Amino acid sequence: MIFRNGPSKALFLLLIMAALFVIALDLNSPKFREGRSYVNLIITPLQWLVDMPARLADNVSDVVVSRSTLVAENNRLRTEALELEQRVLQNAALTAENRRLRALLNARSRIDSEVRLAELIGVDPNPFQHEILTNLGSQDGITIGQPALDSGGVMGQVISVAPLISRVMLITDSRSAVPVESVRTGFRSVVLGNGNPDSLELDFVPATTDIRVGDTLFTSGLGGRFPKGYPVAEVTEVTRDPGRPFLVIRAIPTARLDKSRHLLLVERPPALLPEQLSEASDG
Amino acid sequence: MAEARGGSLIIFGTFIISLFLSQLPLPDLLRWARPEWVLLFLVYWVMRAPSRVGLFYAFGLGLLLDLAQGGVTGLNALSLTLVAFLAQLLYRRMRMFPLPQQGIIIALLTGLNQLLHYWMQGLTGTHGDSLLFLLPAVFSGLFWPLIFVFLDRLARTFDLN
Repeated sequence: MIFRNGPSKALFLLLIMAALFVIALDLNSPKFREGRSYVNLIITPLQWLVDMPARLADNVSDVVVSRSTLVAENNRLRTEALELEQRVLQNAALTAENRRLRALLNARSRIDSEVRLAELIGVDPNPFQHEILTNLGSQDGITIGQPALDSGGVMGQVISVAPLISRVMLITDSRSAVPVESVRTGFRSVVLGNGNPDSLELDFVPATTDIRVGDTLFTSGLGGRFPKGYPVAEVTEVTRDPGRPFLVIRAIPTARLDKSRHLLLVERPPALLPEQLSEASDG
Repeated sequence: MAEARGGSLIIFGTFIISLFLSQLPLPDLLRWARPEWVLLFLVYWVMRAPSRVGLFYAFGLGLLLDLAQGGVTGLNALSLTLVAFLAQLLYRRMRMFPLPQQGIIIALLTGLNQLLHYWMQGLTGTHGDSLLFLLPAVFSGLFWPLIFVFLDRLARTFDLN
């Protein structure tokens, strides 16, 4: 019997060392994380099981919906589609004009990003991290680092991929940072998540910066991970405290992080930056 | 022998249930109100059947939980091993305590678990500035009597020790 004289201290120490070793490996080795995504297959049935009630409820609400609601929704969608079509027409003209002007300026023309529609299949229950699971995985060509968007703006980025599912870290996660710029002034900064589900922060903004409540921040495309020009956040609070060297700025995400059931995974364009540069920005 | 194996299967089954419970989605308002199910089930079985469920179980469960949560691999393995070790030190005393008092010790153990997670969050990013992360400890303590009664009945039915 192992436990005659209390628990085995040697075994305890051994397992603690093993756990610390695994943690160190996880934090330092990208290869290890890659391997882990395959081991994740073990746990995939559990994640599908957990998502089942939500899927069932969705199906039921699809089936038992009244005719009048459907007609109303149909009408609304039709008008929306018309409006959007009209806007697309305008856009096409503008894009053409933009390309011509850019060509005149001798600048590289912007590449239209391809997107894949993914469905949310689970939300990470761990309150320490803000992550969601989607139904596309490496079999669908998803790779680590792809940005995720919804109709409102940037939601986050793919941080791990298993063959059938992938995991998206939301921009409110405390590990997340997105390079942005303000459209009004062109001011560049980095939006940081702080672990609150509905607030973001801008750090180290000098007190003389022109930034106001209501400013919308768009991705700046710097760092090479997020494509340029998608809305990220709207500034909600700017505090100028003479006692502090920097402004205290809070913002809310423009994407509906807790409500979107569908999200777009953007195919990453071929790296525009030299290899070393894009590697340096991956951290 | 066959009986012993059947018992281990039942214990393993309860752990699967705890993993399932730990993954169930909750509304944002309640995100900190989830008891640490896996930890609660683990401590119960360490108390009830210390010769079957020990540190290896804790380590393995921790790794499974890490996979399911997608955080840093090994973190739950570390914290659950630590908690199981403490439970092994305490279980003879804890068996004598009334349920509410057991709940308080469970809350302390869960608090330790949460603290480890909080530190790890600080190591890999920034961490929040609120003490909300200790709330699961309170809820685990409150849920303990319920789980104890449920698992106790199960263990008695199948005569597990």
